[in-house]
Amino acid sequence: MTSLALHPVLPFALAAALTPALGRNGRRLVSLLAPAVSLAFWMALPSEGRFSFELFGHAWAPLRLDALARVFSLAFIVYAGLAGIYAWAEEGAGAKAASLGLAGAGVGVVLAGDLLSLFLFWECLTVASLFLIWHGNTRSSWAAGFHYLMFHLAGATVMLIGILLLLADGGDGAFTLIQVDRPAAWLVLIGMMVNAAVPPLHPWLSDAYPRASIFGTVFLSAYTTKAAVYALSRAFPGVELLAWAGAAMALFGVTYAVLENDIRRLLAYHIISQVGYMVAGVGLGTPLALNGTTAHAFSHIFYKGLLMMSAGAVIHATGRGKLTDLGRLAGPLRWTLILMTIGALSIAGAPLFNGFVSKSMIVSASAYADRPLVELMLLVAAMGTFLSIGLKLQYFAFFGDDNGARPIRPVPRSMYAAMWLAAAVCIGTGILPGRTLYRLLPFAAEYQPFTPDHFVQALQLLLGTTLGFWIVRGKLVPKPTVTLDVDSFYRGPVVRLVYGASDLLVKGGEFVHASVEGLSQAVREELSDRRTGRRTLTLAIQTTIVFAVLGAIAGLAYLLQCRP
Amino acid sequence: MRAQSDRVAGILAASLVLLVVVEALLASHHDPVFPWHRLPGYSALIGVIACIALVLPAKALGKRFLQRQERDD
Repeated sequence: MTSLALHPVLPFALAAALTPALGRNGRRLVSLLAPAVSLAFWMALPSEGRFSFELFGHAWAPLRLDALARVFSLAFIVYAGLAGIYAWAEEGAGAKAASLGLAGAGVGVVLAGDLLSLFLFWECLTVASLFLIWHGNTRSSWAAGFHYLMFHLAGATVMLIGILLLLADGGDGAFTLIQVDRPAAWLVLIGMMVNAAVPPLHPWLSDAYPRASIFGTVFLSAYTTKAAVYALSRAFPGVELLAWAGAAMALFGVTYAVLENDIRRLLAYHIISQVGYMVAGVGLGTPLALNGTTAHAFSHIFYKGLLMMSAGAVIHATGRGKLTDLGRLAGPLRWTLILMTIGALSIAGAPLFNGFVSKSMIVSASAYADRPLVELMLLVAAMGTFLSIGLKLQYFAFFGDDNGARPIRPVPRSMYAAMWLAAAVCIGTGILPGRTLYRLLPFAAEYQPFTPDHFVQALQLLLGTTLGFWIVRGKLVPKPTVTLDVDSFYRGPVVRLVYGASDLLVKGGEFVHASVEGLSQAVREELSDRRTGRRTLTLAIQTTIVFAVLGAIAGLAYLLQCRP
Repeated sequence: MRAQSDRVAGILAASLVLLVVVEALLASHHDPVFPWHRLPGYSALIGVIACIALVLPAKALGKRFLQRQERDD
């Protein structure tokens, strides 16, 4: 029980609850104190163990520690500290509480040892993210929040039904490997795929993440999808479907990023693409692939954070977030350019940056697992990543044509400090993976990233892409357009469906009302005039028959469900 | 402008050729799984070809079907 008192979620939960009651400096203090205390708890806890208690007839295990849970929770906690420094300038109490809640929920998902605890933290992720999106404080962030909510409520409900069916089927509810051999398991898998943003279940991400505040986006980009990657690698390693879905995701994300004009949405599509590598690793399911997924999730949290932070710095400084409005900022925003370049080289998998040591693991694992097509798709996506971030984003934001963007206010030191720290993690784990990241990996699989051929191949890929970019760069000049995603196919029908359903409810209500009215009218008439007695009797018999049929159906359903 | 652009492309292509030579002589794939892993310059080829093969269809797709004028929000 003492271990439960050191649950790393507690500092976040307490800080989130206290935040609204504190002043500005108090809020800033707890937003950094919470991750620090949580990290101390993380270090004090044993490296293995499962801590549970019985309540309402269920064995709850909110804390389970093993190598896989430890590496993900460490990344989540440390990143919460970096993002907290970045958001030092954030004034709102609501946004601070939501970001602390989000980090805490992410840590909770990773440490949950049973499926119902997992579900509760999963829902906290949704609620905290929703409030962070709404704190973007624009009309579009309000709408995007509802879009987000729709997906995650539906996904979580599907997952909950799956979990309950697994429990009803005699499962003990432990959050561990789930065999995909019955519908209940598929429901859990689909629920997790919603949070991992596997297309076509992804539009919530590209719609909502760019519409939060710049601080909100920095928090959002780390937690929900990586918590889902963790859940998938815990429950569904080796599910063939995921290998292909992941490789397709990786390509899908970069294709949309090539077309995108909004810098944060471009980066959001790259979350989908990078999470695709991780999902593919889960699908491959070999120890090397799962280590690759874990390592890449760790790397991704920091380089994507760095990229979102530097995009936020550009937006903060210039007040603009579209490539068509930017350009020629290399001089005035040179430090931001340097930091973004570190993020871009990391995500592109350039040697000596953290993407290189983690992404190449998944690509190699796909070859060793005899999946040449998956390997090719992941290599092409790696090329597209460098193309759209390292080349397109950087070229048109910092070089290219002058579109009148000027720094109108300085980037606060707190933002720079967070970016430098994130950059230090990217480079540190990129240069010394054996002493840092690789020590934390959960599975026994040897991998040596620093071989001459890996170096040369990575450089060839990057240089080849640069040459390709140079040839077709005229085609890549950003246009002031938005790109339709799958949500444009359902937005109209869903709105019609909702209006149709509410219409139907109103009409149904009117019908019931009229029927009751008619019945009571008939009863009144019966009481006053015996001649209508026959009509009342007919009505009563009809009602009885309807209820009898409904009862029989319910009874039948119950019997079917009780079938041994 | 044109000449400068060609020069950049030339430098990139030359470095790429150099890298392929380095790969062929000093750093061939240490653990080839598929036959094309033995092919020097395989990664460079993916870089150049896939880049063009990704951008052109993506832009065509965007122009035909996916891209719409931006609205302010």
